[in-house]
Amino acid sequence: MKESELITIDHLTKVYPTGTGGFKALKDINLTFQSGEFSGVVGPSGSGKTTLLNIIGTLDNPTEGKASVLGRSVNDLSSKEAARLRNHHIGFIFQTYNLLSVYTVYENVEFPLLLLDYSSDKREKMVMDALNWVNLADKKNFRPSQLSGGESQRVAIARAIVKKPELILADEPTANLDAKNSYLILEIMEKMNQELGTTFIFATHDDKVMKSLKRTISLEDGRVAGDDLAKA
Amino acid sequence: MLLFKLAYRNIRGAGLRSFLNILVMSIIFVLIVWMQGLYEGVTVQATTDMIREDVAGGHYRHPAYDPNDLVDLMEAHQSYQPQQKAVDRHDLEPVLMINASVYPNGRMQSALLKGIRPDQALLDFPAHELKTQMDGVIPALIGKRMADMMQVALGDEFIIQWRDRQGTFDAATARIVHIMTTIVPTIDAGQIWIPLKRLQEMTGMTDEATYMIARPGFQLQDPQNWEYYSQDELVHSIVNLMETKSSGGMFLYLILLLMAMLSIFDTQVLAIFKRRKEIGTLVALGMTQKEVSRLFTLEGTMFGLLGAALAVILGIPICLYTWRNGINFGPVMDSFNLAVSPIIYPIYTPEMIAATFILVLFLVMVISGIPARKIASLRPTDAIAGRRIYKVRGEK
Repeated sequence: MKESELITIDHLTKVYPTGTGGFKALKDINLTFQSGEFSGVVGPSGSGKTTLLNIIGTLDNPTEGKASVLGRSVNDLSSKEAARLRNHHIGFIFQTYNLLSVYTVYENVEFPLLLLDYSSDKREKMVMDALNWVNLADKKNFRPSQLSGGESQRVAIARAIVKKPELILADEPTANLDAKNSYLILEIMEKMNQELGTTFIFATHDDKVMKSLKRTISLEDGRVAGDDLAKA
Repeated sequence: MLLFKLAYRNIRGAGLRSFLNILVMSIIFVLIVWMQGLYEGVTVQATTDMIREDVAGGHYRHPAYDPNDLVDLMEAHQSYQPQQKAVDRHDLEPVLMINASVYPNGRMQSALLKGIRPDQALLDFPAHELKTQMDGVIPALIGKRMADMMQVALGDEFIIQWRDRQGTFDAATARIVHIMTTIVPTIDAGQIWIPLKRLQEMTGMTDEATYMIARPGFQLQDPQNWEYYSQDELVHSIVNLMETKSSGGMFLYLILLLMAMLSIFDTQVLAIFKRRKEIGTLVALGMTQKEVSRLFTLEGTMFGLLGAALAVILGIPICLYTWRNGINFGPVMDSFNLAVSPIIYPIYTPEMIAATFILVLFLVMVISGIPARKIASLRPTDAIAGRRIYKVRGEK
């Protein structure tokens, strides 16, 4: 793996066990992602976008082939090692925000830092920095139920970036948002990519997101149907 | 430490739901302790009253006397002359019993005629009321239960019919000289107390008794044909009766425990369904599934601990008040057919409170651990999406 290569995927296949033998979600995928990319995996529903992101995010394992993230082989990670890798180096943004409903905005953003065992002062500074990035510092004491969809997704972004991870995986981050909010959060993520050098990989079929991507990988029926490296 | 912090945040964050869970837990804690205290109080009261009014230091019984078979007492009496000195010293108090028929208001009823010395000094019992001298009429002392049964009042007269030691029937008029209020049914229900001397004369059983009550601490060196039943043995019957009665209470106890379990069952077991997305998110944010399992277990345990803490706050004034003032159950206790006063003073022992808390907390921990296996078998990628799909066997 070259030094700048953040992720390498080599002949990756993912099969989910079913009653009739198994469902092949990914078939012989070969990809590499460089550090600092702003890429997207696009394709229709069921094409394997989320599965690919889950494997890159160490939430799932390949059935065949290899995946290496930040120099670590996903295949060989124990659940504890995978959890630590996610905790230290990977941020997630989900379509449905997945905020912890009983926590305040501040506590949601602080959560990954608690797992990293940072001091209270350090946590406070990092949380406020992240909330300032997404322009939600004034709503730090709000509960998720008191926020709009756009605000909730901005909190999710703040939670993903607060530990300054090398990689952020965003699964349909704009699917539940209107155009205005979609552009707003895309703007934030582009800015983070440019200013912090954070690598973003999206799974999306939203045109607004696709337009902003520097690299587009098309998936169809679990196979790579196209890889637009030219924009990268 | 981190898990404690997170569990605390989850409980605090759930607000009213958490408070209600903790409140239910604490009420159950208090109810269980209160109920056990009540049973303990009833048992102690019943045994104390029974000792004071009936048992004293134990009984020396005629071998043929069986308190559970009072149909024919004609063979169950013997002379206490060999023990006369102890009787004179009031170390022993002889009681003679025979079967009789009484005719209050012309109706026939069976009764136990019991003779006791009016100057007895061993029992808290108004035998002195029998000192009343009445020409020909037998002074009779009965309890309130018996008065209700016979439908007689103070001063009422009625006929008593009995058989003497030869089996000859005889009859005389008796007059109620006192109606005692007692909570001990063994000296009340179905019984008529008259002076011992009078009963011995009526039956020709001079210096004979069915049983003798012993002064606490006194024991016959040579009991001869008297069978000794210690205070503990006699009281044991009431304790056994209490245990039988409390088996119904055990059902209530189990219901209360079940309620305690349910209050965390909602939070813990149903959490697998309600908090799937949260579980997936926690894993995505960097927790292992084992850590999430431990977090859930800890959360449930903390519910139990907080419930116990609130129970202490709520329970101390309630238990103190009932311990000092008792609880008046009125006629309910009478229908319970137990030798207990209508006012029950619960007794709370540290051992009982500690055992209750340990038992409930242990069960809470067990219940809280139930989600652990389910969480471990959740596929995190599906949990994140809120789907309930578990790993198949062998899937990593």
